[in-house]
Amino acid sequence: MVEIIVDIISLVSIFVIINLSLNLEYGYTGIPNFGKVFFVAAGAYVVGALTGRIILWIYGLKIDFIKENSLAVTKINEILSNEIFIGVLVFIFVLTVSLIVGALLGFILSLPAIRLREEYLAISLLILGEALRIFAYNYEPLVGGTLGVSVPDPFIWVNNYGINRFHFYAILLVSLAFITYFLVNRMVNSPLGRTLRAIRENPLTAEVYGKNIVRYRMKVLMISSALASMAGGLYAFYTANVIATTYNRFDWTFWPWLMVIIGGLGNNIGVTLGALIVIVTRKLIVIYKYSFEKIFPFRIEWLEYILLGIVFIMILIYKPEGILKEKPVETIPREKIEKLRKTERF
Amino acid sequence: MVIEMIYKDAIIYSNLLALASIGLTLTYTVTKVPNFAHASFLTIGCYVTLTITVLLKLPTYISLPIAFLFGTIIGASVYVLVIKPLIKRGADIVRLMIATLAIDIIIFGILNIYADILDRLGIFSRNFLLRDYDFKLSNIEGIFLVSSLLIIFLTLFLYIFLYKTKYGIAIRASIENPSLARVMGINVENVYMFSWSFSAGLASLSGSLFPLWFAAFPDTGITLLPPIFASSIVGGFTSIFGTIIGAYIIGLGESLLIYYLSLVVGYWILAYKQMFSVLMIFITLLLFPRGISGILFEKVMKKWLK
Repeated sequence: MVEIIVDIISLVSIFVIINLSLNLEYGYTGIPNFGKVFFVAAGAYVVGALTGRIILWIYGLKIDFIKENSLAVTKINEILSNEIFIGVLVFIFVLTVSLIVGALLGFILSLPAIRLREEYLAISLLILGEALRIFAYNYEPLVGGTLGVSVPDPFIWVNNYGINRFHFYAILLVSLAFITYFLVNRMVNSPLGRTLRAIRENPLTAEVYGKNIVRYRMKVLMISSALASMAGGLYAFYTANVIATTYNRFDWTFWPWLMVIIGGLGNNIGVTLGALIVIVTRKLIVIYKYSFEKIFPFRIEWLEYILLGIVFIMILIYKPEGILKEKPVETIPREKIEKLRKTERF
Repeated sequence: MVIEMIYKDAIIYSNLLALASIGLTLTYTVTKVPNFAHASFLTIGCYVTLTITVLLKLPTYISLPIAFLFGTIIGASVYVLVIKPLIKRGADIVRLMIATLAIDIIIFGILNIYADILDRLGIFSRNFLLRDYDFKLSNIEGIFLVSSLLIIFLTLFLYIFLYKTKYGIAIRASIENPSLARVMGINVENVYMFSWSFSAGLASLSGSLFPLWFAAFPDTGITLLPPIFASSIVGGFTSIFGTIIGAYIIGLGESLLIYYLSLVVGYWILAYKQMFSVLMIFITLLLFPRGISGILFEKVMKKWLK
């Protein structure tokens, strides 16, 4: 039971980060990103390809990370169980690289994205997600192709202190999700956030008021792609495994969209709630899977797809704004502005 | 002999691609929704053929009309149950696109359940290939003839239907200007419904031929999504005849171009076959956003004016 709750907490944290980035893109700025999986997978592949190789390089070990993957990872984990400093440093470094890669991809894709109409943008991002999966599945040096790679655990030393690895990760992921939540919330409740909403509502008007829409969209795509990429990297660390087939469009494009729409577009609390609802439902189905499977002559996860798909369509038809509606922008109270004025900080 | 097989393979693939992508273009031009579930309609056709030939042990080509009919029913119900209520409630294009993603996932779930049940019945239902059930005229496989004839027939039929009949004119009128068409007494909802069911039917028809030459599994639609979208986009995404040309560019390019490239650079490139369609989508969108139909039309016009 504890394992399930810990798993739910970790997954919810990862999806909260992805949902926040999707909310920033679509909920606030109106860029429909149907290729979320592309950015998530990019982050995961960075983690899968880099972590092990960096540590092998640091210790000068001559092991082929892809071909002798299990040997390499066992060796690395042995070393890391006594090297707290190196482990944390590598974790931070790799995660930063995945953030940078995500931002870079967001930047590159924003060049065509700004020019394309909504539906063409959605199609090209969706197809791009598929393309990355095909590429990673066939190109072995990246993340081991069809077999995938194991990722060494930079926090393996927590075992020495009698802490369960998964418990540690749950705490780590929750705190990262909180930080992301805080930063994104600050961002959308700032003048920048108001500009983004103005661009979403009417790009032409925003442009008339002197806002450079192209640059704002570019910035948003960079930030949210970086966040999605980080989430992908965290998932790779959490599961300690990267394989191309994990990063398909059902799990990483469809589920975030479902969560965001259920919870409420343009509402960060709603988006968090959406992640919680969907993941708890999916986990419950997994838990009761075996008792169901005696009744039905097929695997129960297909039923899960059908049910969640139907629920999603129902929500789109009957409650398109989601559980929590978008709130008006939080502005500073008048008294505070006047106080600020008196202190002449304006 | 090997070369001949590769040409045959490329032509069959392009024929099926053309059959499937016509529907995508039709739904997009008529209802302005890029249907992400379109490729899954094709997978439905694959399973219709499997059911008819292996489970019911009926002649193979009976599955063509049945798959088409089954597809039209599914397309119509998708329109009536999902798309129509959404359009009625003023959903924007993004919501409609997400809804098609949801339909895709539902169809995927249902197909997998069906495949599981067939497995229980002792029928090999994942990665099945039904080449043995096809007929052969001396040296030519039945599917090669049937799919080629179907495309020729369909092109003629669509031309006559869209340009020479009253219903075709009604369809084109509702594409050009739905509100004006309504004023003129055209039942636009009817046209929308027709386009959804007809295109799902075509995709399903294409799918019913698919397992006679290629291996099919519940993910067939997912893997075919890039080439199908590429055919439509290369063709201009709004022109049905452009789409047919686009499908041959994508299909022949993916099979023949990559094959000849592999002779030069090495066989490793064959694994990245599907990247061809992704590349074509980006090249088209960035350089010729109006696709083949745009280019051809302009050139023809210039010649005529001279």
